[in-house]
Amino acid sequence: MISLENVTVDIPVQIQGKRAVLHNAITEMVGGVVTSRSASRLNVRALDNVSFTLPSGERLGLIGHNGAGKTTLLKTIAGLYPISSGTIEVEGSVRTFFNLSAGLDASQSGLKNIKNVALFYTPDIAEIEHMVPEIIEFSELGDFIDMPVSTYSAGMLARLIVSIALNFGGENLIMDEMLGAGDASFMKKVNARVHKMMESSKSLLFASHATEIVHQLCNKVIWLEKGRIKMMGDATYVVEEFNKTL
Amino acid sequence: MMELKRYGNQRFSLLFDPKWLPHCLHFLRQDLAKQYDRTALGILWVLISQTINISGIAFVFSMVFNTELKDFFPYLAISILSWGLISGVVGESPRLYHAAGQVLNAFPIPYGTFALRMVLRHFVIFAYGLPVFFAVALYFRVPVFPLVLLALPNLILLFLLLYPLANVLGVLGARYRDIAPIVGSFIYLLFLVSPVIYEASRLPANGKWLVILNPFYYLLELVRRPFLGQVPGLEIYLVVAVMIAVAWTLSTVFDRKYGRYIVFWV
Repeated sequence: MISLENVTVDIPVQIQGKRAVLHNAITEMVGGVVTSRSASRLNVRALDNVSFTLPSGERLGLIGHNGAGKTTLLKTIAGLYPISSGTIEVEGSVRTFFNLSAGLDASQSGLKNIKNVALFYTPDIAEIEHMVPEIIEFSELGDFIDMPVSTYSAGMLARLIVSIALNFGGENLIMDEMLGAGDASFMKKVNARVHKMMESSKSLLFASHATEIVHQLCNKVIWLEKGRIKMMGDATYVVEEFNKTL
Repeated sequence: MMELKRYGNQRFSLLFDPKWLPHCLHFLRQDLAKQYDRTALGILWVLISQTINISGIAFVFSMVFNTELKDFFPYLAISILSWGLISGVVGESPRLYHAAGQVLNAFPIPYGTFALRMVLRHFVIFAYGLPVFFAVALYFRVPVFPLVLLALPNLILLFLLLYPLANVLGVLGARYRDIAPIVGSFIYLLFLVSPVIYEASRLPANGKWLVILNPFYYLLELVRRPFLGQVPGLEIYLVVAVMIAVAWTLSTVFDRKYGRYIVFWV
């Protein structure tokens, strides 16, 4: 269960130079609201009084235009961003899937990178050792797993990082536009694995620009605009209303 | 029920869940291996470079200072190793969180793991250099035992200072990008000014302030005296205790006030 009550997140932005021009530029770019100014700092209100409850077993999609606050909301729930006011309650473990290539070291082999990146998902080394053969098999990289990642093509790199990520399920899955690169047959495997993960998770929070995928995977959708909830409800209805604005 | 209260900064604390220790040790081993990756001798380079460094300075400066090599060489050996440990942590701390930017934005892991990995790495490199000191001490028959055993608790005290200090400088360095080059440019000057190559007792009375007001002097004495078979003076322990208290206080204050912003600064 994930529950947010009047959550507001202000992000400090350091500025130099012509403040007035930058002030307007930032407001346009991020879609958020610039709330306060001091001599050298702006606060961008990335989330404004957001409240909702995601009961166990539900799949919540997040849609909205660029800068609406989708990633900020997910990162705040994951505990990466600080809350300026309000409270969040999360029941159970949280597994985050943001920048899948974070922690990757191109000079090391694929195998070493599996262990390294996995150690950011979980500190349990025994669990990781147990998963390594499965991750290697899922990636279909074969002997390339022992080569430095700097020798990989973009597709191979995508296989590696997605394979690592998809082996770590959790009670609450928080995904931000993670499903992407890879050839058709690999993407089929990825989708099947994502579905399997979702079956064994309690809740799913999924943000994406691809509204069809959100519609497929989620039963409820929140439409965020400028850090506020514009609409929340049944996936079909909200996606339809959002698509009308495109 | 895991409740995230206001500000969600619970992950910014130096006192993190011990279940993350294997994670730290894994990356500690990897950081050490990477430093000497694809070199013929690996981490033995620490021994070789320290041997060349220490021997070169010892021969030259024993002539300059007109001092006996048997007294100067062991003192210099342990001083340079100790300086390497202390200045290594101080010099690297302002950039502690910069390299971790991507990871900090993707995974909710404790911040303390970065400081711990870095500080422990410097302790390991110090340990790898110790054979040079012991070889010199053996040759010049320095009576290291039994007081060398005091080195262990003293090194623990040093760790208790360097760990929060790394965090304090790391937070400052994340917020103010100037801190890293400022610290870097002063490290060399501090090496010459601090009693690393010279003994503090050689300073004239009007020069004593250079050591009394120099925090590095107390840390150097804390580490090197046991290795030379001596006990550091009480004033050394008192000053170090105060430094430890200040470091932990500052670290806790920074934690509460600024920890939540690090993810935005890097």
